[in-house]
Amino acid sequence: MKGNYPLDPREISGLDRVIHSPTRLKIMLVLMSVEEADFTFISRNADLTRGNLSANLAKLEEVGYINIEKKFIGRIPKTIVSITPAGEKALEEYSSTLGPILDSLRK
Amino acid sequence: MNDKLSQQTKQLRKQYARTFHNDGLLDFFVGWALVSAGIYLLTSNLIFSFAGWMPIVLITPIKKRFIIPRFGYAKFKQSAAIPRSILIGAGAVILIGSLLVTFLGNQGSRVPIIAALLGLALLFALDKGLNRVTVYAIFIPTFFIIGFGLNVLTPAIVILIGAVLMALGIFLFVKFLQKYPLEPEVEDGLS
Repeated sequence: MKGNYPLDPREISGLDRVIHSPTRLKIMLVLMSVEEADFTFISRNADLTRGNLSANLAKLEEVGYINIEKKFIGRIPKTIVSITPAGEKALEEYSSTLGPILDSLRK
Repeated sequence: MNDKLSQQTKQLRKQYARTFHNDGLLDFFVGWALVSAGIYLLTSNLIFSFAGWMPIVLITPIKKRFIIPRFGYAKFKQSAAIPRSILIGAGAVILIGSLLVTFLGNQGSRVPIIAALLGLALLFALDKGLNRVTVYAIFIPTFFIIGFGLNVLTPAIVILIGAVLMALGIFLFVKFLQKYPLEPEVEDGLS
């Protein structure tokens, strides 16, 4: 967004629709805060049901924002999820686009 | 990363780490160490000197058995400002130094070992960014130094404080298990 004023509604079109979903945004924020996490950790901290989480993780993986792999933690197989560099970049861009829009609405 | 996002994710990371370690295990084992130290002061039996810190090896298996299945597994990004290699190096220097002073020196005192434990605990706290570990790392040696310095510390007091911390640990552990009940294992549907 160029400058703080006036708000250009066209800027909103530039928001990443994959991240703009509250469910996926929660997942991305949880993953941005850790190096990697399992299904239970994300479900607990994003307050999502397993079904909902599963569907949204698949969507994020599809666009290359997260990486999903099966790993053994101790002797237990776990689904381990981590954010990819592309995912980090997308979240940063989303934050940079939305932040000024919200700021201009507050002023 | 932009500043606000970076600050928010840092806060979240701290919050997750705090919750993960708010299971009472640390409090229980610090209490256990104090009770053992108190019994050691009372009996001078070396077994209690070792019994105090040996159960530390149980923390990881307990975490894996009770905490991770409930709270989930996460690998936290390194929160320390100081690189881990430097902390490990400093830890090694402290350990070797304290062993040299203990075994080659004439004083035969436990001070170097206490100082080494304090140093290692502080390095661990710096690495993990855990306030609670820092508090205990400062509290325990201060408690002994002031207590013995003022001649007010008796084995009974040490045991009593240790027992209180153990009870607090058990209370926090039960609360954690209640707050994070075990969820039924279901297929996550992800390949």
